[in-house]
Amino acid sequence: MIPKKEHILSHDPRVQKEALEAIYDYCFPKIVSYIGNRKEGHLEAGDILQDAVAVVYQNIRSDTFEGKSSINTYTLSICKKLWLYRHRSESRVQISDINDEMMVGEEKEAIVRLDLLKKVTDRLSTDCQDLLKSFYFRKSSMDEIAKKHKLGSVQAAKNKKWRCLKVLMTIVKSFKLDRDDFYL
Amino acid sequence: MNENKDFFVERASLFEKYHEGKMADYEKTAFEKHLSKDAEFRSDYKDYVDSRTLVESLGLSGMMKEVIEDKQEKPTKHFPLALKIISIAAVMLMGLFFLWPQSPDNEALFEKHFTTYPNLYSSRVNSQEENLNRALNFYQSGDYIMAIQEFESIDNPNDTISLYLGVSELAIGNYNQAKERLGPIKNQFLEEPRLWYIGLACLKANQPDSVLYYLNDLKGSKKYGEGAKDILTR
Repeated sequence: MIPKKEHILSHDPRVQKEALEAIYDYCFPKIVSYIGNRKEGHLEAGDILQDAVAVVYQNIRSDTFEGKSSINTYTLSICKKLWLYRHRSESRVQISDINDEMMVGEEKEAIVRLDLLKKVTDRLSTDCQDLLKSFYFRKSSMDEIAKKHKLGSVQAAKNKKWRCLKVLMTIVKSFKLDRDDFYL
Repeated sequence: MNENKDFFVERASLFEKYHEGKMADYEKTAFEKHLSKDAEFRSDYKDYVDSRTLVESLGLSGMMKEVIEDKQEKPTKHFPLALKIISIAAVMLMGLFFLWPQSPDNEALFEKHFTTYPNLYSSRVNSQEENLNRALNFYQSGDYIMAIQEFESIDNPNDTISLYLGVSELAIGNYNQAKERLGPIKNQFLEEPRLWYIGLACLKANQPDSVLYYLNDLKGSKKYGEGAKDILTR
């Protein structure tokens, strides 16, 4: 499969998973080669790819990704930028021979999105993250969420969903206020 | 407090309905007109959309993690037959364990009983205590993360502020931090709420012995007695 943005945005988890597998097959060996083929390199490549996929999704949703390159090469560019950002203080950072599909502005945006992701995962409780993902990503019903999260009733699940969403929105708003370069 | 929570729920429900394309044409027209005229409404809607996109992207990232784990799974070894039988027996025993009656549904109990401590300062704050004013405004409107930031910026916080900090931490699910904030409170006037909220934090942390320790003394309390008894009898 050649992953396209419709696959990434699909509501069918099988389609999404197939697209992610294709992205993995294309990107992962190249990232490992770029980082250095050591055990730590494999682990880091996995982390980078997970972060990159989240950034790609947000860029597709916000129409930042215009589709001029393929999803595979775009994801790979983001992986490279995120890895460089992680290791920006290290002298061993080298210039890559991977084709650079990203413009300078997009590079900055990817880093800003990553910062926001990290802020959310640091400040929002795991409970809330799981519940919101169940509702908005996996499209679980309130009944399923109440059972999975042991909330006793659909109303308790709804109350918790709103409370978690409010906390998340506060984090997002506060992040935007703190950064004058935020332009999602 | 409830009014602010209801306002948020009402607004967020509207955003959700519009975002998911579930509005009738006339509703959609009215919503879009409001969006075009009201900057604050527009900003809130943008925050909602960004928050949702963020959650969805986290979901996709989690799915990629599963793909990576599947792709890199080590080949299984061939266990000797005896080990296989022992493993199956262990799994069956664990299954039997889970069939026995379980401990109380702590998450549901917490959701049933948790409400925030009321703002006692509202009419008494000195106009010069800006940090406290801001913190209490955030607390009252349910912005607990901002409330925590503002409360933390207050020099020499008293026990009442520690209580608000503990309750705020509990409201956003940080039960360990909540216990740390509430533990050192010495003010006798705040003893009952201190015990109550630490008890709830221990409930959330699935620490039944600690829940009993903190809530047992509240059974006779006018304000917290019913709740304490309800939790302790489950």
